Parts: sequence; structure tokens; C-alpha cells
Amino acid sequence: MIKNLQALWNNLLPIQAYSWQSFFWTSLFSLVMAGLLTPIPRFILFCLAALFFIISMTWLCLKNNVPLTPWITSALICLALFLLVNIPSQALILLWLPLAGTIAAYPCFFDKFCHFHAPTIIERQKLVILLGTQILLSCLLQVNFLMQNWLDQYPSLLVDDFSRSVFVVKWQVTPRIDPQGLLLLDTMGELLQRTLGGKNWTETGEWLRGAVHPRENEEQSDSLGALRQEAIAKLENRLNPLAEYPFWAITIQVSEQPNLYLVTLLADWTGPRSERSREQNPYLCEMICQVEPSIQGVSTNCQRARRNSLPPG
Amino acid sequence: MAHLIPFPLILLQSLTLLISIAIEAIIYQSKLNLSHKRSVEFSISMNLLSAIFLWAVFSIFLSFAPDPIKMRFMSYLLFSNLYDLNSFQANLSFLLMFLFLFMFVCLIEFKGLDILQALLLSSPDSSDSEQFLVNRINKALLKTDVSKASVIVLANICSNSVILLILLFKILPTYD
Repeated sequence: MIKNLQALWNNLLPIQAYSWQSFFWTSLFSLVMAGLLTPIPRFILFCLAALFFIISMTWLCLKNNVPLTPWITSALICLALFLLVNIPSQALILLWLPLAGTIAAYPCFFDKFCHFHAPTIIERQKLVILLGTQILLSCLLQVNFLMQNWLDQYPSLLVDDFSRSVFVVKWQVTPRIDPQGLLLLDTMGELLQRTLGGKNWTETGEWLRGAVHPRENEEQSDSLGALRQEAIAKLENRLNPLAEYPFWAITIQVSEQPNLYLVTLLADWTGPRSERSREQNPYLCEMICQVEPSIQGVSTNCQRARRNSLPPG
Repeated sequence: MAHLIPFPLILLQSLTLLISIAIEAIIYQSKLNLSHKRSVEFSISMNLLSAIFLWAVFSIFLSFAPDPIKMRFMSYLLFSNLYDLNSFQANLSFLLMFLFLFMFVCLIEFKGLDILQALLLSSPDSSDSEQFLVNRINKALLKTDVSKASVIVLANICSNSVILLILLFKILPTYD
């Protein structure tokens, strides 16, 4: 152990001024000095430290003929940009491969003493293919990010069946994924309790009839639609706004019994879906609420929303 | 937690690239009188170039497209169906899109081949080569060689027919 550390230390000691070790120690020195300064000079010293570190590591890799050195250097540059300038990680991952290709092309344009020379014809052809493959790989990474962004905006799509998809495969870590419809129904249940809590039994009956048949009752607005909008607004305040909420259609079924209304709220997905999901609807969610008269007025008890595997009736 | 990984898409892209590189290289070799090695190199470069352009256009288009069109692309990429369209509309949009893509790829490959030839074929005059290179690229961009264009259209028709056939075999089982 001590021998290894000693060997490492001996390796890190600069043998001559023009060596990778000098750059390494300069970067370390810049880092230490940066800690003692005010923000703006500190940032400049951090940048210099990153620059010297990247130069020293590239030099080390080149000296030991490490394969894929341009890709390592490019990754280090991207990491430095991420830590220093806070550029989004997705943009930097997309930059990584084309930048590596450009770095790999450097020896074709410049000699050891940084003198420019035009690449030979054989080199030009290799450069076109090298840069082409790197940019194409970057494009494919971009498609991957595009899909992740879609899933961020439409997370409920993950409950769907992707076994017949031509272009993607689903990689599932957790055993169970719930659609956002459950959250929407739970929020609507809370709002329903609050709305009906302030009414008497007759008004409750009218409200429920207005929710089931919004068009027959022109004077009242669509009470279910209003409740849905309110629930979406509440969810958007509490969580990140999602683009998928407008695609959730809510339907209500009310069965009237003596001194009791059984209210069933159903949430179904109207957005893009697989053909298979039309048979066994994995999106459909339902919640049952029991509305009955009480001493305070009307009491509403809602169960938690749950997935319904039955096709919509 | 779950992720969607476009692994089949990457495989499909690699497969179509390999097929079109092979087929187009054979046609370039026989029709443009290029050497075996050069025709393969040209074919690789052309196909990479057109694939990059297609992906770039796709990304730019999606960032500007209205929401209903975005949803259709999303639906097609994720579930292989077109959201909110009947089968006639869907087939018509496929046909139009395929024709547009075919013409776009032909155009890119045609100009790409001209530029690549200007860039890679050795010039007799080696002095003042940079100035000469810029002139050659300018000339390549402006002139239109009908016979070369017809070779590229022919090469693309052949490669795209084979790719379409393979795609059909891949996509057909998804129709119930």
C-alpha cells in the first residue's frame, strides 16, 4: 500500500518543466488559490484549473497511448462545462461525441508545433466518415432525449403496452406504474367533498344531476368540467405542470338510492395509445364516493382511486 | 420507474445504413467508374450525410410543429399508429412523407457527392490548393450534372426499395 502510494507520488513529481505533471500541479495550485479569493477571480481560477487539468490528463493519455483519448478529453471538457457554466447535461451529452470527433481530427490539421497544414486526401475521407458517425450517434442520442422529454410530459404513457412497438423497448425498474388519472381522481374526490359539504341535500341532488347531464341544465355551468379544471389547477400548483392533463376525460355515474347517492368517477386516457391498450385498458381509473345526508348537511366519503382493468362501459 | 429506450430504432437505423451503403456502393462503382474502395467510401459518406440531415430536419420540425402533429409523431414512434387519423389518412400521410423524404435524400446525396468529389479527388494543380478547393466546392454547388443525378436517383430507388421491403416485414406483424 505504502509502496503504491510512493510510486504514485514519484509519478506525480514533475521530472521537467514541460510535462503533464507540471500542468497537473498548476491545476491543483489554481484550485487551492481559488478557495482564497472573491467570486469573480475564483471563477476565473476554477476555469484555469479545469483547463490545466484537462491538458494534463490528455497529455498523460497520449503519452501512454490510451485508446479513445479524444473521447476522454471531450468527456472531461463537457464535465468541466457542466460544473463551471451549468450548461444542461443533455446538451453536453449531445456535444460530447461531435467534440470528440473534432479533437480526434486535430492532428490532421496541425503538426506538433501547432502549424496548420491541409489534411491529405486520404485523411479528408477518414475525417468525413469520423465526423459523420459521431454526429449521427449524437442524433440518435437526441432521439433518446426526445423520448425522455415526452415521458416527462406524459408519464402515464408508461402504463401502456410497448411489446409491439417497432422503435422502442420499455425498461421497467419498479414493478408497478400508476397513471396520473389516479392522482387526478383523488384530487377531484377532495374537491367534491368540499363542494358538496357546503350544500343541502336538494342542492346536492341538483349538482349531481347537472354533473351527469350538463347539457340538459343550461343555466348551470358544466359542474363536472369545472371540478376537473379546478383539480388540474390544484395538481399543477402542487406538482410540475404536465402536458398530459387535457387528455384525461372524466365521466361521472350517479346511482340514486333512498337517502344515498353512489357517485362513480371514471378517468380515461384520450391521448395516443397502443392498439392493445384498447382491449385491456390500463389507463382507466375509477373512484367511488358515497354521498349521504348528515346532521351538518351532506357527508361525502370517497374511496381512494384505483385502476380498473375492465373496458369502459 | 421506467424508461423507454430506442434500441430497436438504433438497430433499424444501423441496418438501413448498412444496406443502403452496400447497394449504393455497387451502383456508384458501376455507373460512375469509381474504384471499389472509393465507391464504398463515397457511399458511406453520402448515407451518413443524408441520415444526419434527416435527423436534423426531424428535430427542427418537431420543435416548431403544432401540438396535434407532435402527438402523431409521438404516437407513431411509441406505438406505431397515427393518433386521431383513420387508416386512409394515415396511409396517405405515409406516402406523402415517404415521397418527400426520398426527394430530400436524393437532393442531399446529389449535392453531397459533388462536394465530396471536389473535396477528395486529387487536383492536378497542387499549388495554391486551398484557394482551388474553395473554387471547386463553389463550382460543385452550382453545376448540375444530369447523368450523375440520375445515377443517384437510381441508387436510392434500389436501396430504398430493399429497405422498404425489410421495414414492411418488421411493421406488418404489428397490424392485427
